[in-house]
Parts: sequence; structure tokens; C-alpha cells
Amino acid sequence: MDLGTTDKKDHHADVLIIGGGIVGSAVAFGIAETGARTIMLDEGDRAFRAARGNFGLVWYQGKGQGMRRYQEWSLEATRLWPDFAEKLQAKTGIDVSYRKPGGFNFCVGDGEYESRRNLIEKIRREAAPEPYDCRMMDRKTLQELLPDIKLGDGVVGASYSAHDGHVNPLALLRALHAGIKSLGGYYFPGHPVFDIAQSGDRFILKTPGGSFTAPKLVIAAGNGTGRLAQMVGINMPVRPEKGEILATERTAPCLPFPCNRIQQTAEGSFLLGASQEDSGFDVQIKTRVIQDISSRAKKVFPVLGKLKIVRSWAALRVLTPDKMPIYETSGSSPEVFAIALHSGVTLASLHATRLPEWILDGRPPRGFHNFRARRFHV
Amino acid sequence: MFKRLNDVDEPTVTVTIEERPLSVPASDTVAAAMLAAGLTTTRTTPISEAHRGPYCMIGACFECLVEIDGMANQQACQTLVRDGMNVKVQKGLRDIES
Repeated sequence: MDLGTTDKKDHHADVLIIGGGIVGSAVAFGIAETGARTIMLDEGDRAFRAARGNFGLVWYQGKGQGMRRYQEWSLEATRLWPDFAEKLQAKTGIDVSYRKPGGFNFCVGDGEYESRRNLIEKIRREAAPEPYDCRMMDRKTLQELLPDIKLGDGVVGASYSAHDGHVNPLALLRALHAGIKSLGGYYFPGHPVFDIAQSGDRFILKTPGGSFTAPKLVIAAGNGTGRLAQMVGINMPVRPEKGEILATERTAPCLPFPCNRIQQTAEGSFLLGASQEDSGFDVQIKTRVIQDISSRAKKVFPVLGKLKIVRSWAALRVLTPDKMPIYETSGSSPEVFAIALHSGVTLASLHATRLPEWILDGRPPRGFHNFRARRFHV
Repeated sequence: MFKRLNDVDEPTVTVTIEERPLSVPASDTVAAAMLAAGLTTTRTTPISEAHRGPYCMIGACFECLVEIDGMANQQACQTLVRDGMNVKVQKGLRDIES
């Protein structure tokens, strides 16, 4: 990167993006692809990074109850994923290990099965007249699809959607960063933004490494989005939610489907998740939570109890009040776009392909007003 | 390839490594015992079946996985030898039922 110079012109961009996680990077990738001068600013290694702690699901089922547009948006994202993964590989040589075998959400006990079925049927009614491609599956059918791993006695069934898949999230982040660079975009890690000012039709961003200016600003800074958006008068209600994940020793492949709280990676480790803890900006591992996660996993597949846990970690989700995405804009010049959501992996394909038109040309995707933050301001 | 620094006067135990009985100091790790005996391969990789041996010797790299008394995925560098122990080179990934 040839930006070690103090020449101020070098720090001007068509679009500045704050946030180098999966959301910011997917947007930056799409914008850089149009040829616009793109600069992505990021914090350092010690930042809270959902991008480095997540489960890697590219997930459709169960999303969007109460907001049909989000259900459609997730479906569109899963449809774009195969081409997007191919494009990343072609541009960067990095295989993000995207697979779409369909996915399960296991139900232990009749209560879980019934409430899952109710949720799926609710979304189906909201999706009508469009079909909703997700269904319940009984234990017998489920076990036939999983001949190499035995279900626990309490497993009643699962919900299934053919659109669900998974990706290696660390490879995805790396591929996006490599792609941005190969498209001529710039990445500045270690440049946390501490002030945003306005001068004429430009924003001026202050960082410890200098100032950056642009007529368009995208704030996609995860749990930092609320604080940064406040500086430009936009209210983005986000809060952190802790999730803990366990990784086991590697075994021969026996679970060929990604599942909501259990999956086996391409390398053979089982990943077990995930907790939902409201504990602020805290990423400590809790013994009790790890016990809950592993005992839940054993209820689904008792054989997992034979495996050693080799790693555990916690990361912070980015939650909005209704858990659905917020895409907000100031609509004025200079223009700011603020994005907050916790499905950055699933939506990466869409963010890279649909958001550049919104940001560069003022043409939002259909039905985008549903996602604005004003839905919370009644 | 590897030589012990000096002859230590300590009790020994007998272990079987790849069907070969070896008398080794009781304070050895399995990895140390294998390296001292000239056995540098502890496992083969799942896909290319390439040979791997102890690398970090501090439990971080998981390259030295061996099968000990029928149990795969044991870290040779983190396991002390025990009299009568049966150690085998691990071939590929562990079977989940084993």
C-alpha cells in the first residue's frame, strides 16, 4: 500500500468506510469493484471483532419473522452466495469453503419441536403468496440423512432448509481484505476514528494516523456504530450480546450438514455454540456457559461427549432491538450510511453486490425503507 | 538425529512404539521418547497422508498426534510415558466412535 506519505490528497476518497470486519469489508469490496476510490479504516488487533469469533453460518431458515423484507433479503443473499464465493476465489485465490448442503435446527423435546414449527408456520404465512422453503423433519428422516452419527434419545426432529450453508468465516474476512486490495482499495488498520467533522460537501475523519476526507461515509463498525453514528446525528440503537463457542479435536467427517448450534468444519473439528449473554463489552469465557453448551451438544449427539474440547472463545454479536438489520442514511450531502446487523456472514454476498448502488448512486434496493432505524422511533 | 544431553541416572519404563519395545527414562514425554529413538513421524495427514512430527513441543501445534492404547488424537509432547504404554503413529483423522 503506497500511502505512507503525508500528502493530503492521498487521504481523500470517494467513499470512506469505518469498520474492517465482514460487514465493512463486504461493502468496501463492492464499492472498490466499481472503481470508486475506497478507503477502509479499522481499529487494531484488540478490537471486539464478531468477524473473528463467529460460527460461519450462511443462514436463511427462521429469520425475518415480523419483517417479511428481511426474510426475502436473507434468501436473496443465500442465492447470491455461490457466485460470490467463486468471485472471491477468482480475485484472490482464497477458497472460503462455502458449502450449501442445507441445514438443520435440532429440536430436543416436544416443546422445542412445537415452538419451532409454530415459528416456521408463522413465517410461512407472512411470506405468502411466495413459498417459504423451510420445513419440519421428523426424527426418523433426520437420522436417515445422518447415517454416520447417532441422534440422542431426546431429539424429536429438526427444521430444515435447503438454502442454508456455511463458510469459513476467517477465510472470508481474509478474502475480502485481499479482494479490496486487488481492486485498488485501501485498508488502514490501527486507525480508530475519534472525530467526524463536516466541511462543505465532505466529511473529515480524525484518526491517530491522520485525517481522511470523503463526500460519502459508511459506518459499519459493529458495536461501535452507535457511538460513531451519533457524531453525525444518526441514532443507531445497537448493543453487544456475548456468544461463546467451543471447538473439539478433529475427527473423520460424519456431520455433512451445518446446524444452528453444532457443525463440523472442513478440517474435522466440531464447533459447538452458542450462548446468548447480555454482559456488555465482556469477552470472558464462563465455565457454566461452556457446560451448558457441551451438555446441549451431547443431547443432540451423545458421541460428542467422547471428544476433547481444544479451544473456546467468546465474541460479541451486534444486536439491534428487533435483531434485524438497520440500514440508515442521512439523505443529505455529504452523505452518511450506517449499517448495523448481526448476520454479516450471510449478508456479505448481498452487501457486496447491492449496496454500492445505494451508496454511490442513491438507488436503494427494493423495500429498503423497512430497514431504516426510524422503525424504532415511535 | 536427536541425542540426549547426558546419561541420566533415573528409572526407566518400557513402552511399545510402533510394535517396538523401548526402554526410556520415566520422565520422558512420548514425543521425546520417539525422537530419541529416531522416530520422527508421529502422524500422517488426513488428505495428502504427508508425514508430520513434533514441532512446537509445547502443546500448541497439534502436529504430534499419536494413538496411545487405542485412543487417537493424543498429543505426544504433552503425555508422559508410562510402563506398558502402547503407542502408534496416527493415520489421518480420528474416528469419532473410537
